[in-house]
Amino acid sequence: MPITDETLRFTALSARLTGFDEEDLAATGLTDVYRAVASERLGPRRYGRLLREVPAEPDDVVDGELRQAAREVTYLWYTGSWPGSPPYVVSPRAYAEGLVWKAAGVRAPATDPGGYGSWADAPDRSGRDSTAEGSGP
Amino acid sequence: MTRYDVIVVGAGVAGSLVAHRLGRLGRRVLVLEAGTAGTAGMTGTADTADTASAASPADATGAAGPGHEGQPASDPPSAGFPFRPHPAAPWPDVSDLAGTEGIPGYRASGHLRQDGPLPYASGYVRANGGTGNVWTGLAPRMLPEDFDTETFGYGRRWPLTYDDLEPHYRAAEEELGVAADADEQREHVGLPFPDDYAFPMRALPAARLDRVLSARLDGRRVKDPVARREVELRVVGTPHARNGVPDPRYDAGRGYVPRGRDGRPDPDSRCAGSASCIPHCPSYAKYTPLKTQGRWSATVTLRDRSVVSRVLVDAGGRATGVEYRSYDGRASVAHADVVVLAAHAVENARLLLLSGLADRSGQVGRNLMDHPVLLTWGLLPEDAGPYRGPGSVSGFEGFRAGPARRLRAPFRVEFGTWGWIWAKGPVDTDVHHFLTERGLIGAELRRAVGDRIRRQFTLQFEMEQSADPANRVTLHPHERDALGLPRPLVTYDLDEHVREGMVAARAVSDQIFELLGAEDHTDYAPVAAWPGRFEHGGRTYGYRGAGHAAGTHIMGDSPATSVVDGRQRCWDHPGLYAVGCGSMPSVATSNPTLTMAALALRSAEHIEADLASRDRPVSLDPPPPPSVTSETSPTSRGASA
Repeated sequence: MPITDETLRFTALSARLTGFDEEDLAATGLTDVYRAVASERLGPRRYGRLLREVPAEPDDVVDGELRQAAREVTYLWYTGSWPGSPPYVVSPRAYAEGLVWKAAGVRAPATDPGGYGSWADAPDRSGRDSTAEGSGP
Repeated sequence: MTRYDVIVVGAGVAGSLVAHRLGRLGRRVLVLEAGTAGTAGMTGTADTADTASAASPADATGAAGPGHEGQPASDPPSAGFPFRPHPAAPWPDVSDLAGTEGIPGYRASGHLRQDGPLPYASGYVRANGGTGNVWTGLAPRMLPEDFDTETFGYGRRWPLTYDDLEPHYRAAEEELGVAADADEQREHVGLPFPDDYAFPMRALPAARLDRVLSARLDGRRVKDPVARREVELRVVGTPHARNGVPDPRYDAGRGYVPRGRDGRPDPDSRCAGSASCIPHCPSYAKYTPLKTQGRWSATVTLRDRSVVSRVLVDAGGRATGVEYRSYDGRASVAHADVVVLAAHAVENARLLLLSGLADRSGQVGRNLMDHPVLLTWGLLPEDAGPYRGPGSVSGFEGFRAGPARRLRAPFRVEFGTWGWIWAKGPVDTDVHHFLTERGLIGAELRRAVGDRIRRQFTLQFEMEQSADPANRVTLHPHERDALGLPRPLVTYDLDEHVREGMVAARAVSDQIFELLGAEDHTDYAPVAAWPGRFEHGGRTYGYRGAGHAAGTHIMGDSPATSVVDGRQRCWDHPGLYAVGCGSMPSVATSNPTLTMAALALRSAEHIEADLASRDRPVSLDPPPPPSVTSETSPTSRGASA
């Protein structure tokens, strides 16, 4: 499989797994890094299955091995680390770009402080997570 | 070998302040620090990347994670957590403790071994700057009534009063750089500030969480079922040792200049809201002992990787110096007129026990106290604004004082603004929960994780634990560290008074959640994540340790019942001081760093007086005025040997 094709597949898969669009994922600058991490950690067989077999709705995956691989890659995107005991933290940048923070509309601690008193008001989440508006219990 | 006026053992908050004050008077001070300074410390690795990865998770299950005060995170191998124990100077890590099924319900490994009914749940750090690197920066004073809880039928009375300590509180607020509102502290905490007192800096802006709680709860009353009384809730700002806006009224209108990195004047330094006070403040707004060290005079020498193994005394019991080891085990000796132990409550006690000193009362190592913290956590109906500023900005102060103390431990309530990090671990825990336990993925996962994190908050009920001689540090009979020194062994429990405090706290929490319309997610599970866990009245309680070790060289007014006197001098050993929270007869409900700092500054004055009286030739003439004495050059006695 040519690299470019693999990259496209990985990006498309990641978007379906994470709920973030490809543009958001590209903005992290980590797609290539994560593709390499996933490929290495899963091994060629599981990685190949993941790229080929996850359906448009990843919810529909029933195969245990495939489901596990999908979760591991999703966890990687959300936290910047590969799950394990302890998890493998890819890099400080991966931590900073963790989708978990973007999902909550919060900057990762220690990465991009809002300035003195920024903690006082409701966070400005414009442009951070459009799906988050007005959500509640 | 150089002879020193003073040897300080430990370069944390107390030791750094004592060295600073004495160095400023021209005294030759040797500071021996067991941990490492410099490249492995904070100053060289202060960039965002290191801090960021340090703040990242250790364990997606939430069994471990970035700690609270005195509880460094168990760091993933790739992380830049800046403090790493060397086997020659180990320290207890939060991950050394795990909950288990059955009795006693926990397992302790690592440096600090335990054999009590319940675990002592706090750690500390042996690195330059000590645990003061990883503290939260909350700096409230103790209440006047805290100095004598015997009035309430428990604990031990201090040999000094709030008024005795008050000038030193002021000095400590200057040294640490405290931001607070004196009017608010007077009116809503009950501290007797004079009308004209101003803190160095104005109070920090309240967090969004504080504002939501204030709007919903101020003036509402909750029932304390243990004390059978009602308490009116009011959100009150907590004094912070972190830079805010200087108050021009400070120091009779002379104002205050915030101190930045290494304590340098930095008028514009402000807390930037990095939300990473632990393990490290990237903007250098939070006080750490490194700021004091940056202002040390040239007469103060820091020697790191120097593990003191014994205090030396002469035939009369007077301290003459210390023996210390380098990491390769090589022993050295240093001599001085005064030795100040400032190595943390547990390590101070260990060192006195190793030396066989100061134990006429049999109280060395006993009376170990902490703030056992009952955590409750949940989701607000709306955005709580988590992870954007200090870990806690405000709290409830109404449960600290008064006759209710007779019936249950008093407590201070901190509002935790970093989600559920202390209760459940870092946000990775939430990802794990929704991804693996709930099976969510894609857009559903994104929505669930975002919603969950945005609404998270925690209530942290910090209980006063009173001095009980049965709670103690001893030397382990056979476990030794890499230098062959016996490890500390802790025996610990929570008495009925503390447990009743937690009962009251949980009932108060239930009412607060109800008033807020918040979802309570408190659940002290899984067992492994809650080593501090007990049943009481049919309900399960889980606690964390606040890292506020105290009492192990308790202060008192008699050598028969206490280890140090009101000056923190060991009764039996002229020239030997043990400073720090270990001296505190009661740990009260305030975070103890400010009080420890005030005590250290007070002791520095007495140490200077000791040295001055030794300098003075025997004479029938009246002594020279103190200002002249204090400027006396020590060089006549500081010759090289």
